[in-house]
Amino acid sequence: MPTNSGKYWVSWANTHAKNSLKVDDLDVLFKANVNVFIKALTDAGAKVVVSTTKRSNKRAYLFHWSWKISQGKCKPSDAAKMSGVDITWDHGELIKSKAGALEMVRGFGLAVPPRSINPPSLTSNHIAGKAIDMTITWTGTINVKKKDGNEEALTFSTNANTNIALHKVGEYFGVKKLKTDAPHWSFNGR
Amino acid sequence: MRKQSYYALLAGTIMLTACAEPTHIQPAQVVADFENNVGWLHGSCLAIKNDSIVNNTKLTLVPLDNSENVITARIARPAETGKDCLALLEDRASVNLTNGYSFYAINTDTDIDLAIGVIDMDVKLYGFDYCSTTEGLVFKLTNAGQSQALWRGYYYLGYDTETTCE
Repeated sequence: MPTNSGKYWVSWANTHAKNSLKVDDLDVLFKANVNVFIKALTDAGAKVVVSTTKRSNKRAYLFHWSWKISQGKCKPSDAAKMSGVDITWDHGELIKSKAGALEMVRGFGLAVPPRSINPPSLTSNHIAGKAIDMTITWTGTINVKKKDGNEEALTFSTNANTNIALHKVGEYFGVKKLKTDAPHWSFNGR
Repeated sequence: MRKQSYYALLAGTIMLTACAEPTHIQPAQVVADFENNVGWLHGSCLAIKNDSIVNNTKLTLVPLDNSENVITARIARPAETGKDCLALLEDRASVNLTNGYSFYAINTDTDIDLAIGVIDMDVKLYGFDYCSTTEGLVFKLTNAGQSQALWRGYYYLGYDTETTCE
């Protein structure tokens, strides 16, 4: 039985379409690289706090279409269907469809930057299980041991985006830094 | 004796100072403490790297919609959960907290989506801007008419979008 868009779907997503915090939920190859990288860092004395690994495609679907419909960027009838998410975007009247979508935007806390034409993405490295958000901290300088036994000295910087030495070590382990978002690492740096 | 001489000298100095032409003293160049006085907002919640702002402190909010409007608001109370503060919703709280921000619910008569908030600063002297990153927003404060950032704030949204930051 389909359910109209609205705040019901916020509660539904917060129960049935949550993002993962587990490294085990990542893509198999990327997971292996992440595990080795994190072990090397923690063995050297760093603290690693994982905030997101694999993101739910159902959650992303709800974010994407609620944002677009609420902002008038598409017609409610344009919304694609998704298996396992029995939502009715088109309530029959545009004003009601937009109101239902806006309830979801507000409930999910989606940002609506002025002039923005970019909704939350339907696809990403996180959704594919090939990205991880993590905060890496340590005090002073640590020596991270590489697979060949050599060590790389890393000095802490509060801005992870500019710590090139840390990025190089990550890349050595197959975990590449995206330099615009401090916690974001992925298989290809995007 | 010494004490009397001192008082005579002091009195003379006071008289001379009182009779002298007023001089135009240049105010000392005040360097604004951007880190403690500038933050960003999503909804009615201020994120700022200052954990000692007291309730009822006045804020000036600059919405990021290119309008000339500024909004006056006041700090209501520290915010601790996603119920009080969108930046503390489950998908994004840990990163935003780890970045060193403190969060405050604010009182205002106007609905706010995204804005930059300042304390004790003349907003006319500054420019305000933002861009999107892959997973968040970067807020920027510059001198008016200039592009070099005096302050930047990063808001981790916890979902993916298109980047507009250069």
